Amino acid sequence: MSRRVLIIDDEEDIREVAALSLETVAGWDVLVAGSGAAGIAKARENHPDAILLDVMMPGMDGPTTFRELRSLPETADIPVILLTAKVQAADQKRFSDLGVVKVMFKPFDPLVLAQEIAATLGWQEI
Amino acid sequence: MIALAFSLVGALILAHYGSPSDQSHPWIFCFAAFWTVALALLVAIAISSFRAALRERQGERQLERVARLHRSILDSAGPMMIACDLGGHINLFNPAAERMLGYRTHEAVGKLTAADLFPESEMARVGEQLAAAMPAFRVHHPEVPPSTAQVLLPYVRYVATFPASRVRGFEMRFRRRDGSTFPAMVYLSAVRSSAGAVEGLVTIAVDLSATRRAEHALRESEERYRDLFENSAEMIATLSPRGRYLYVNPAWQALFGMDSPQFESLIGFESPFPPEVQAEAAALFHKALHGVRVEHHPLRLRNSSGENVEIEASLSCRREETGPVSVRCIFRDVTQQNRRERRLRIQLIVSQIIAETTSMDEGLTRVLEALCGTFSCEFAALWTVDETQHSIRPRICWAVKGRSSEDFLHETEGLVLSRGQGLPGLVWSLGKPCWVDDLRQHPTFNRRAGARLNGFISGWAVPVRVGNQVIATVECFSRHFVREDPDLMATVETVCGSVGQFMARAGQEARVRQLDRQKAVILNSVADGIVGVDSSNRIAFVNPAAARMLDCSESELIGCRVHELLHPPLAGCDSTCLTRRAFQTSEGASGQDVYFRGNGKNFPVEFSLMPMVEDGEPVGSVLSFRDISQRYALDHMKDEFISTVSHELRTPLTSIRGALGLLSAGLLGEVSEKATSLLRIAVANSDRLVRLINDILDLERMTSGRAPLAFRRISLDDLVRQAVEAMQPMADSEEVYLASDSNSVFIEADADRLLQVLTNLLSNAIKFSPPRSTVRVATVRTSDGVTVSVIDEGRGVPADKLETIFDRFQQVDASDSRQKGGTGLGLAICRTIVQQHGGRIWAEQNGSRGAVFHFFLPERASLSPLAEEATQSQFEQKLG
Repeated sequence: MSRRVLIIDDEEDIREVAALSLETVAGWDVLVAGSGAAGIAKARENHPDAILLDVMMPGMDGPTTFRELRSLPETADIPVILLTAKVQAADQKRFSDLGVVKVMFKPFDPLVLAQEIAATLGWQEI
Repeated sequence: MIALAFSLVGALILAHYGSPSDQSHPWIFCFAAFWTVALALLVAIAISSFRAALRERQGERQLERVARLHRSILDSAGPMMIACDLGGHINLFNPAAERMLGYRTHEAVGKLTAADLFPESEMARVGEQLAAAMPAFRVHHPEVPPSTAQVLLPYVRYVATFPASRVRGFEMRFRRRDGSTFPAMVYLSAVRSSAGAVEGLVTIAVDLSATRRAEHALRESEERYRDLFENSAEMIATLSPRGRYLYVNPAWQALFGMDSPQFESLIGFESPFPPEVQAEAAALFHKALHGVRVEHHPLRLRNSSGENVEIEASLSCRREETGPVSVRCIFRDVTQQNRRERRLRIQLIVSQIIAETTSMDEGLTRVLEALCGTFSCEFAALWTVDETQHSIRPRICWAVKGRSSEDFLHETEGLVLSRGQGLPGLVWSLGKPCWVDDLRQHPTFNRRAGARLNGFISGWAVPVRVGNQVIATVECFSRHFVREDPDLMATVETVCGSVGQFMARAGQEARVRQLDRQKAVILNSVADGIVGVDSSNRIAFVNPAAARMLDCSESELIGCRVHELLHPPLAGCDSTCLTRRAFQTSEGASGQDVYFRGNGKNFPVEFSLMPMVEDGEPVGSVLSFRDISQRYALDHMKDEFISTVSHELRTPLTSIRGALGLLSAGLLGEVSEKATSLLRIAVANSDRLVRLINDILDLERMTSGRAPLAFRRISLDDLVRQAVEAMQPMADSEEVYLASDSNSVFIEADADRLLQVLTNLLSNAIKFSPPRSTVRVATVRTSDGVTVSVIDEGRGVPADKLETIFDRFQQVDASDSRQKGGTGLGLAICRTIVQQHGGRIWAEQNGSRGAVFHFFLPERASLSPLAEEATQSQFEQKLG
């Protein structure tokens, strides 16, 4: 069974690299969205197994997107991992208070990204 | 009588019978006639014998009366009455003699002799005196009976020589029965026989002792009075109502330089006085003569030596019913007393002036006025010394109203004198007072013209000193000729001492006021808030900036308890509040805090609290603070910026790292060896770049104080173990062994940060250690904290780099940790963290091989100035 992961990030390059990383390393099915709104739509439509969510996005930022996801019944149960370049302690606390499963930092090691996600979510395969 | 009766009968019968009837009987008639004659003779005889008897009786009665009188006289007489015979035997001794001599009459009469009544040789002595008093030719008077006792001879001769009325009394000492003696005045007279020969002596003696005593007392009394007058310092004279001198005591004589006879030759009371006071003296005499008591009238004279004396004159008149009898004058020399009074008065006046006036010029003017008033001068000036200009110039001038002093004033005001020049200059250079008898004639007095025009004759000047230095000169001028008066100048010099102090004090006060003003200006214009707090932590002083920032008026703030004001209840601070703690202990503190304004809004501050200690006792503190809302906002912006920059840098790096990583792993197609190598380099450097961004961010936040340390009690042991665990993979890959000792030490620290330090040091140690060497962590507890050491056996650090390696971006040498992927900031971060814990970090060489990195942490965290205790959230909470 192949996992399906949705990556929501406004940076196209990061979407590509992250997607590439998860596909080549873990062989997962990766969906991408370039904004919070697009991401929510995609999530509703495809119901992925996990969402990798960026924080700093124009329009709906990460936390707002997350709250929206949580409020929608179709997406409320999808585990969300924040992937952010905001690494400061205050930010971290704020993020984890949101209720996301984990906060991961950019830049990431593309070879272990999938591993970390799987470990966090309790996926056995890798 | 009977005979008479018979005769009468016979005569009658005869007469009856003798009637002429006839002539016959003529013999009867003859008989009758003869009988009548006989009768008549008888009667005559009877009458005469009767008369004789009567006279006899009268004589007896007389004698009796005389005897009684004699007795009374003797008994009642005050004087002694003693009589003796020529042999000296006492035959009369009256009661007075009994009293005075102590013998009873019966013991004296017939028993004592005259000699017994006198002391030995007294009779002889007085006898000689009497003998000497007698005229020469009478010495051998034949009248002296031969039976006279030897001792009585001179006395008998004496009374015999002179008639009773001419005998003078003389003094003799009597001796009483008990042997005591006393003087008496003796009146001697002779007891004469009917023939006139001396039969004895009678002595009437009057006790002179009382008289003597009275005389003595009177003489004594007279002596005393005389002595008083003669030796009195007061000058006493008595004059007749006509003004002639009756008596002058020595003091009076000395005053005028004349003796008694000279006074007696004068014709008026005022005569001896100097011409200028004569009229006044004469007037006083007249007043006294007419019954007015002149008391303490002041007079000024020149005495016989030419000195000025001040006198208090008192005159009064002695009157009897007949009119004035004499005029008494008493003069008291009050010159010294007056001088003392003047001195005291002027000192008192000047002290009062100095105490009362606040303005120096006003005070000095009043002092000049007082000097003139006291010493009868009419112009005064105070000249001040200007040391820098080496000149002295007039500062204050004062002239009495009335006569014009314009010319003199004008001349004075225009002058600037140098040391030694002119009267003020002379006094300045000599440092001593100076007197000018006659200004008009004095050769070097440069204001002669003005003096002449305005009538100033005499003048003097006195230095005003502070310590040893002359700072001013006071000069006074009089319109009278006044001779040099050293006492006056001494008095004024003393007074000028006070004036000098006054001037010095006024100068000091002016400086103090100036400093006060400067201080006020500074405090008022400074932008920081400054609050002075007293020892009971109440606000004692607030500057305008503080009042503004706290949004209260200064008066509202004074007296408030400082902590309650800055952190009101709504601030919700507890016992951990740094500010509260700082005020409670007398320790200094500084850092950042949040204060509350009067309107309840809060604002961030940077503060500094400095305790004030006087003689080891805390007396309060000074708090200065500044509103850093701007800066905070700025810092906030900077934080935001850094955060943003960090984010912005990381974002492209994510792509780079991701792409490189995938490529490098060969997951996207086969890569040549060289390409692999290059990719590995690219990946490594991307990682390094990320670490660099992290470190810069970290260091920046820590050093700016925006990264608060969260202190809690942690086990160092646990921390070391954690660090070792975290570094184990790295150590394993380098084949380096990690060792640590276990030491149960607890400290107050920020665990995460400390972990960062440990991992950093371990990472360095591992990097620089050769394979199969050991990196050791040692913990040593000291009295006030703990020292942790990381010991490696690697390349070590050269001695000259031991300090500098903790600086940013420092490299030891060409092949340094940066080649091994370090950022160059690790040790700088370690140092910042350790310092923020109040500790120290340093490096040493590990003997011949390797390095040792130590850091010391105090057991209780003491804050460095820029550390905050409150957690970031607490801080931000306060800011609402």
